[in-house]
Amino acid sequence: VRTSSHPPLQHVVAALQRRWGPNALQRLSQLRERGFLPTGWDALDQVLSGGGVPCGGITHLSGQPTSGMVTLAFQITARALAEGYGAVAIDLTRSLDLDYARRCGVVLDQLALVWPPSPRIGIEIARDIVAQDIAAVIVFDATAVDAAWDDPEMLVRSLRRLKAALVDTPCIVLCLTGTSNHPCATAINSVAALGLAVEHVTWLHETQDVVGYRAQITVRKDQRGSPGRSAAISVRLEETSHP
Amino acid sequence: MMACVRLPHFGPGIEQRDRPALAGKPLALVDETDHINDLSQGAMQAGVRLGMSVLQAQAVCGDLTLRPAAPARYRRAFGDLLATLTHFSAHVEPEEGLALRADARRRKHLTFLPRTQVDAVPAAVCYLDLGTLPAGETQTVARRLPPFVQERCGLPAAVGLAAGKFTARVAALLPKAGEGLAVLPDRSADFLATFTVALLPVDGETIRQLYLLGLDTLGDVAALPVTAVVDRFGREGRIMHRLAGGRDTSPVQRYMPPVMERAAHQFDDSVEDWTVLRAVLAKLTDALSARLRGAGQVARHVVVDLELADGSRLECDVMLRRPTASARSLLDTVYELAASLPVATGIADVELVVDDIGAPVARQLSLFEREPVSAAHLREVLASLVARYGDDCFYQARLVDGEARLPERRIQMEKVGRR
Repeated sequence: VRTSSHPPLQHVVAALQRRWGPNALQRLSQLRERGFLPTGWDALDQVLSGGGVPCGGITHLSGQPTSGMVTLAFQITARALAEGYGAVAIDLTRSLDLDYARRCGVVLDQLALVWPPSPRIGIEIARDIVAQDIAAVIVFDATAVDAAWDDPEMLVRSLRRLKAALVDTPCIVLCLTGTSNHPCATAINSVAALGLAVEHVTWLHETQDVVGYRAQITVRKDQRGSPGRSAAISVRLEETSHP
Repeated sequence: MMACVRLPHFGPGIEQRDRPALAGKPLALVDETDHINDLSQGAMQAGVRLGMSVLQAQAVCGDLTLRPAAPARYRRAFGDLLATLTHFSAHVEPEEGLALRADARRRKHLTFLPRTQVDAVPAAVCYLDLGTLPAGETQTVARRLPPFVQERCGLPAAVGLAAGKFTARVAALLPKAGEGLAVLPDRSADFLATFTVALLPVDGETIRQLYLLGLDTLGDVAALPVTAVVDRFGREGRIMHRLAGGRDTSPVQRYMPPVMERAAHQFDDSVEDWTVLRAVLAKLTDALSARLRGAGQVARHVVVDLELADGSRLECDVMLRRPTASARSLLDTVYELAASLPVATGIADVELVVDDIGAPVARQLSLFEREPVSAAHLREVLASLVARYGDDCFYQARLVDGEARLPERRIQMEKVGRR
């Protein structure tokens, strides 16, 4: 191959990638670590071991409403969708704001919504989706789940099966829960590879208007690094109706 | 003429038919989550409602009898009835397939609906296309069809006859179970005029808007110029106007019975020894597997149905992740299902059913890491999951108007259909 004239080589690579997928053939210089997807906030990526959320594992996001947890989940989903993969949102309380997801950059055509009758069935569905390899991100929203909705032991067993199914897959599972002492949150935290607590710090004002907010993200659990580190992120609301 | 056959309280009716000791008692069927899935008329009159927890239901009705719901058995009973009705017409169509969805549950999110006139009773419903009938014969069929249904399936049915499916469906709400009502073709609009718009098969938001516009009855909608309704509601408005005016031209589909394989064994004396039961299950599974493999097909749905010595029945089913014809896989599944049933007495009869049968689909493993997944492929895979988890779980969002003032008007949710 004549490396001096790049166009023929690029054409060959492009043709192979079109036929066999973007990962079939790549230049070494372009090869990045595949096990993690950057969140999009440099400050946060720097405190995460691997520089992002882990692929093939469960990431647990906990926080109160308006903390920025959902925004973080949607931003990660939008980044994964930009690479052409699908995403699935498992919405236990049917309260996920898809209009806000759209404003965060999530392409609705590539997003499927699941309303399972219980957390355990939601996890079973997630396991099937992982097995079918159709989604790069699964958002499991258990933010306002009733504590008595499911048997915690059954939930943990289902989560362990999901964790086992995720091994060696590129799928990211983002589990969103309210307070970290909720039974559902405890069960999810026990199997998570990464646990992040998101807290609202302050609203950002310009003159009289709220234009965004600042959130503090603390690493509660990190299987590859040490917990306790934290990062501050700023979210601008120009393109969104509410946080 | 179209006939609508409505069998209220179908599941409890099947239980009471198969176990006469339950007849006349308030009966409720309980799902896996210990909530009321279906109930008899007696239970409904006692104040029990769909969706109640078992504790709530028992608090409302002290002498309530509870039975585990066996939806696969009710579907089979309904399928048998549909096959019987093909004696009247080849065009027999179940409402929403064989799901036997309770009408009240389907409309439970429409909390603003008036209770009157809306079909709040869970029912199995099907339509028949009877072709062209002379006026005199219409009344005769309306009289004869309910006893025919009762004779064949042992349950009372309410029958509505009209020129269109929608009018027949509304007509079937009025007569008592075991009776029929015929609406002459030229009287359809007058008949429908006083009924609430909540009966129209449209989403809750559209019905809310109809109420806000002061359109309370089907007659109010039919009286408007069609252009006005179309301007406001688009294509859906045209359909609403046509239905409200009694001009439903939608056809009844030809009935295609579901393909299933059954194998049963009746014991001379009831058995309590699991070794004997396992041996029988293995024999039945081998027979089913051989039939499937002989036809070059695989099955996705497996049902184990046990009849106990005291006459009660226990049933358990599972939708497999991957369809199979393998005797080993089927046997493992059957053992697991049988072991999960709360068998308290001897077993008199055992039946295995496999359905959702189709040709096997080859799966190509990828050579490299995956390629981007198209939206169409995502939808296709979700459609296959619908078969396992039901059609109430999976949705896709469609952007309708990104700048609409009301958030609920910006995005529309569409159910993912079963493959």
